[in-house]
Amino acid sequence: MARYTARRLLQAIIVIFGITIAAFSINFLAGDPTYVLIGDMRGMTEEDIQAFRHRMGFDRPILVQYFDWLKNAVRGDFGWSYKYKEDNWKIIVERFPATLQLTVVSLILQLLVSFPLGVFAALKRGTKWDSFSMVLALLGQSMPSFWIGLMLMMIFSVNLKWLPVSGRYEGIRSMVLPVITLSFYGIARNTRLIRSSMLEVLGEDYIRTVRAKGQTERNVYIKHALRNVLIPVVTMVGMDLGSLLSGALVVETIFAWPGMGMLTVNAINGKDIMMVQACVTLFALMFVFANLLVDFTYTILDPRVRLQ
Amino acid sequence: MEPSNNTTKSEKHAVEIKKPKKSSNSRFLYDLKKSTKAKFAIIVIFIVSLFAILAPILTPYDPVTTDLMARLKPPVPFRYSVVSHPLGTDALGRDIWARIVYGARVSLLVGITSVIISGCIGVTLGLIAGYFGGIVDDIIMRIADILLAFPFILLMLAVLAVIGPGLGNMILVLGLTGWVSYARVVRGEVLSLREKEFVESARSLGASNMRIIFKHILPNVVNSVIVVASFAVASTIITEATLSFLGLGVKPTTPTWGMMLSEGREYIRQAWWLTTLPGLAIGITVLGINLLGDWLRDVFDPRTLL
Repeated sequence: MARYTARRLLQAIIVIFGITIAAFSINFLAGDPTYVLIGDMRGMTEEDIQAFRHRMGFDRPILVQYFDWLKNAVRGDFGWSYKYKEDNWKIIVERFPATLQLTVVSLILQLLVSFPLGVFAALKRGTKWDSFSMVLALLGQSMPSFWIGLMLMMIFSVNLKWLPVSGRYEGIRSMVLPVITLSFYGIARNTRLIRSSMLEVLGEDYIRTVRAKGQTERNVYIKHALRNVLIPVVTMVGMDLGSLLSGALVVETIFAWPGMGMLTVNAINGKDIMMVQACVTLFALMFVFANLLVDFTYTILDPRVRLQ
Repeated sequence: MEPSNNTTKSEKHAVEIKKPKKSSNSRFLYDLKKSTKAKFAIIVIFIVSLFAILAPILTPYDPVTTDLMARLKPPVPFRYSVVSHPLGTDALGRDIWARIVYGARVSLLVGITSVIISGCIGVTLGLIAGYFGGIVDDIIMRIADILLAFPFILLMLAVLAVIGPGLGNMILVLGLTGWVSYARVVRGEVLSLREKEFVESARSLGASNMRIIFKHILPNVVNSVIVVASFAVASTIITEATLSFLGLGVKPTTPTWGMMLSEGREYIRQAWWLTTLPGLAIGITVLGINLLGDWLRDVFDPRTLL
């Protein structure tokens, strides 16, 4: 167990290192970052540009710049936003709770809906119910989530006027549409995954043994099958976090939800590069930590993993 | 029902004995005829391809020509609609049907080309990682982990924002970042294939590593690659639409489904068809391709049927 933990931690550190390099190099994708940051160069002399480059430190060797950036990033200093006239880190800290709220509620909704639906489909395998829920799930996986969001907005906010169109001012009422939109894809995918892992578990030898011992069907499902279905669900939650964070970028933009997703999209569109670097790094870090957590939970639930 | 079924089976069996190669083909067609899923998928894909290829024949309108006299016309059965614009027009008077038909070109082009690029990269890296193992495997898989650690859309957005939007750039970025799933699947299969007897016998006959990889192992992973690729085309089409929707897709003058949605969003109060129709086009196309992938998986790997 200790060896597995050490190995997994080392992997995570390497991945985090790679992430910081990737996030840092966003700066240089378009060539000289000086020009990207200045944008409109009318009325600037060559000396002005040189002075700006020097002030930003872009005239230093790239490795020096990287380690400098990394050193500051570790201390929570992600530079200054020209757009907000404020410390980048401060803005992110302000926006973070909104994104956390959106993703956590969506994650819970996803599990609450897809788990019973998937298990139900597996138990009713081969019946109309099964094919119905599978068609529904495939349909859900095929529709782009931002379109679902727009449709919901059109029906419930614009036409029926039941819910606010955008923003985060009306408490739970504001959350309904963004949360449904964000969890839509996950519900569809998880329903299918849970169905197939339930079917897989039901085909295992130990389930046959339990049946042969004369257990009631109810006990077979509740005591023996469901517990083992939980293992793949844990992995699923890890995957969900990634797709939820990606989804938050789009959903927050549609519903003007003031979280990190909207912040990032605005920073990208406004070429606020240091903010983009900060957001990219933090999004990726959240994802890595979530996966690490999932992997450790996994080893506790399923001892076979440790032995491999 | 019963007798006809029997004859098909016995025919199939007869062919199998004589020409084993042809039997897999006829089984394929037999499965295809049996499956509603596959039939639906093939019809959808056929129609969308037809849209893309025959776009100029299917509509008299140019998808970018504006006509301010015919702004915001609803689709045909609704009030104020005009017969000359069966699916209505947008805020600049452009014909929706023309834009949807031409939009199929971009979706399919981006979907297919970027999947070919990422497929080639991913399969090669997966073969190398799985076959050679050791440090090479470690390096490739750690790069894959790093790519997976970024929320996908975020990575694409950041890169496109800096190198600039455009069809070529988008295909390139989608192609260069999408290889991870192929590499993982192929690597997993190669790990078990390389221990098989036929690989060992090839090696003992003096076959080079390259020959073993491409002649003996590659053919055995093709099925899984095709399944991964078909799902990848579907998800790439959605990603393209999302990027266009967020304003970082292709040039604003090129009609794409994602861009239509983003423009329609401004008129969500007045013109429901601007957001509904392009979304349906995306949804139905992606559903068709997903169904094809689903069916291919069932055919290639009957274990998933359970």
